[in-house]
Amino acid sequence: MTADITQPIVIIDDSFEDVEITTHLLKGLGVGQPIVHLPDGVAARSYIQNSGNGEGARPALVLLDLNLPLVHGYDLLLEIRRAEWLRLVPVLILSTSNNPRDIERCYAGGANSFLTKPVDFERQRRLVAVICEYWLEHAAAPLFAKHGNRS
Amino acid sequence: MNQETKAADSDENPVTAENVDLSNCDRELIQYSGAIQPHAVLLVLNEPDLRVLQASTNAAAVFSLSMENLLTSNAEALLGAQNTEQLRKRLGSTKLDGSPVHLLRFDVGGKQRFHVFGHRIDGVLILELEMAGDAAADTLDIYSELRMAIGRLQSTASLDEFMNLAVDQVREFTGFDRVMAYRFLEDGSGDVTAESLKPGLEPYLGLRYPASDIPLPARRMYSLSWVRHLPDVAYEPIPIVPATNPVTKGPLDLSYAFTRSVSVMYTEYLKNMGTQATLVITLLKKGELWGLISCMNHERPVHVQYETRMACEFLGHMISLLMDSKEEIGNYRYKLKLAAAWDQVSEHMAREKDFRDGLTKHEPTILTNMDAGGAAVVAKGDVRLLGTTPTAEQVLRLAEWIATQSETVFSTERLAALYPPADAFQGSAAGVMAIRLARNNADMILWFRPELPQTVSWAGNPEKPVEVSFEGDSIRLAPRRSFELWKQSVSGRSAAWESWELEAVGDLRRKIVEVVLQRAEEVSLLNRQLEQSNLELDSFAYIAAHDLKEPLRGINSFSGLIRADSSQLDAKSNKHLETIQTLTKRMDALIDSLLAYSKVGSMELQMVPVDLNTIVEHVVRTVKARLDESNVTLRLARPFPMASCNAQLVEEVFQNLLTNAAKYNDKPERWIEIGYQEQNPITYFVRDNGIGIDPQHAEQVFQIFRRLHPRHEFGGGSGAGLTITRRMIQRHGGRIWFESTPGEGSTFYFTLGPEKREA
Repeated sequence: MTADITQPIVIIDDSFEDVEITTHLLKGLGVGQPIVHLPDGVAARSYIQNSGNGEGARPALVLLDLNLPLVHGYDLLLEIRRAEWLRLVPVLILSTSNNPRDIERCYAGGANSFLTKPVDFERQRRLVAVICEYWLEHAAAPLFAKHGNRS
Repeated sequence: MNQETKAADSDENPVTAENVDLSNCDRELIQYSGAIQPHAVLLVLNEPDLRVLQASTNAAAVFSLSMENLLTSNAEALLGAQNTEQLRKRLGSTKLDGSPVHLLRFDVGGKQRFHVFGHRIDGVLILELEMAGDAAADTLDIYSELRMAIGRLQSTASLDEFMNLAVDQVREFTGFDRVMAYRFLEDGSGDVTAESLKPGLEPYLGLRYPASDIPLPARRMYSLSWVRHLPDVAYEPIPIVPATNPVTKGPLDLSYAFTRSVSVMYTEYLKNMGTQATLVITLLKKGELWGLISCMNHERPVHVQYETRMACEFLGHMISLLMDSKEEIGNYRYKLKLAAAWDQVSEHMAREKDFRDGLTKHEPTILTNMDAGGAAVVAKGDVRLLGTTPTAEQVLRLAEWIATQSETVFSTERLAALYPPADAFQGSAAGVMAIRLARNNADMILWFRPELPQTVSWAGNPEKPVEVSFEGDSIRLAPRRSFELWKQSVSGRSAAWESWELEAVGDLRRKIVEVVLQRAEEVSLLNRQLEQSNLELDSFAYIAAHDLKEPLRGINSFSGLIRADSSQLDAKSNKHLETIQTLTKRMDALIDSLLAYSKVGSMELQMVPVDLNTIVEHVVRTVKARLDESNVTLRLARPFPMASCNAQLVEEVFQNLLTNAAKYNDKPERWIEIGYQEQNPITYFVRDNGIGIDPQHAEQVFQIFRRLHPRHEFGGGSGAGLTITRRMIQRHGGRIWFESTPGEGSTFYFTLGPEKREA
């Protein structure tokens, strides 16, 4: 694992069921990081704005759903990219939507991947496994020279 | 009704009463007649000494002097000192260079009374002493009668009623045997439109008089003076002596003298007509000569007194003014009725999808209040007829012709004279009025008037308005003697379209254009709204898909969790959970299909020239694995031509058809043929030797989620493939259909553009 064990995985998603399944699958894969669930726009914004002062650890990965109550995931993506402490964190869009417009603008807005949530449990399991393997094991995490919180 | 005419003429052989005939009467120098009528005495005086220069020969008897003495006399001697003083006063204060002005009254020896009128010409003063009636002037009666007459005239409701009353009033006033209202027509001829006459006389009402009866110079003269009077047609002219004026050294100019001796042409005409006295009142409409009120006495002469003539003149003014307003009122009512009808018509138009329905389907239609026999609406080559009209084909040709003649409003009462094919439908459309609805086509509304079965009753043969007689070796043209009724039938003409009718249809035209423009605006607004809602629908489909899939994923996932985690689950429960997962997957597929279908409907299509060969190649590469697996041979007959279409959709069409063809096949040796037929539009086809489709399911195969086979056969599928395919083809304006023999194979045909309509 290249990812720091203290670096949380942040899931921004209003579906508690989806998050429960994803969490279950992540644990099943042996992921030890804390999982932070932000179920709506308000919680997400407060996390993006207030957690940057060295208090919370920088996330290893953000899984972002698009169809959220009160705010659209795309807008959160832009806010994440504007927040200095989250600017370089890998953000994966994990949405049911495969609206071409969303795909295009999310990539343009700085998303690292656009993934469609499968309905089938088996495929979902495989998808989570691939994400873990790629982003938490193979991909090199950016170095945070100034705000580094690696111990 | 012949009238004397006056013309300045410098011919070497001047035309005077001595040598006039009808061939030259319009050049007769009537102002130099050198004579007056016997109901007056004429004196020509020198100024300022008021010496007598010339006098009519009847003056001698009136003043009981010999002509020699008279011609050396002066005003004082003839009129007396008091009258002369009054005369001088008037001469000093009044401009007298035009029509004679009433200057004073004058009695001779207490028995003969005169009205004295004066005017100046060529530096001399002309006094006309008109004999007056009894001293008891019924002036008061005249004015109260006049006032009542005007009151009655004002209360009439139509022009006809007004004119009938007007001639009655004038006859009551003047005591003439016959009083007629005479209206000039465009060609100079005239109609008797109202008449009041003494019982027993033959009516002239409805008769038409040829233009030569009142020649143009006479008509011009009428428009200059209100009243002209000839007390005795058979009068003996009274000469003026000496013939040459001592001051001007020429003949006396009697242009303005109202008692002047008139043209023999005129008196002869009147005599031929059996008339003994006349009085003519001019009627003007907006300053133009409209007609005359012509009074005639047949039994004896009558001298209408100055006071009564003044009343007639006043009445002439009043009739002219009122007539105008009466005619306006008549037109105004018609106009109001039409305007009300147009309002209703445009309401109907606004409600109907097709504006023509608004014009023709509801009462009132465009014909209801219009004084016409029939009407037609021509739009985009389609003709709708109302009432009595020519055939649709004839109307269409006519409209095309009118479109070359006028930009907006067109009318004629003699269509056949302008447009010879109209000869064929005189009965329904001798006259036509049309409004064009568009500049660049023959769309218009037409109204038709039938030929008037019109008979004109001429007062005498209009072809022979003169008599020709031979006197020695000269030919003399005289006024006709025959006034016998001469009937002439007029063909090829409808009733005239009045100016305000043209205005009224002009109004309708504006209203229609307004409605049509408004309609166009509404359509563009709807289009914008549709665009907007398409966009929303587009997003809606994605959001709905998301919302539907979320619980589905939950069901599937938790079923999966239970199956994965619970080791003690029995085989049966495990099987049930698996079924739940299969069902959610199918639901997932259905939602995807719906989304795909909605995308085809709402996406914006760009049609560009596309090389179909590239498309087909690409499709074949994509499905190659599946074709090989199913052991399918692909046949491509010949290269495709270029097509104008949306490449992405057409690729999907070929892919769907190819996949279906490969899928629904149970033969050991399978083949698919792709090709096209050169028709218009080009028809593409995908043929297979598969299982075929029962023709009774022809429509069902295209219905969404309709499957003809159990789900597990032929590889399954959501059942939306052909529905989406058809939608994609429809988006191109094309259509898809198939031919099939069950058990032998199917051929799916499709086009990528609209069918060409039969020419």
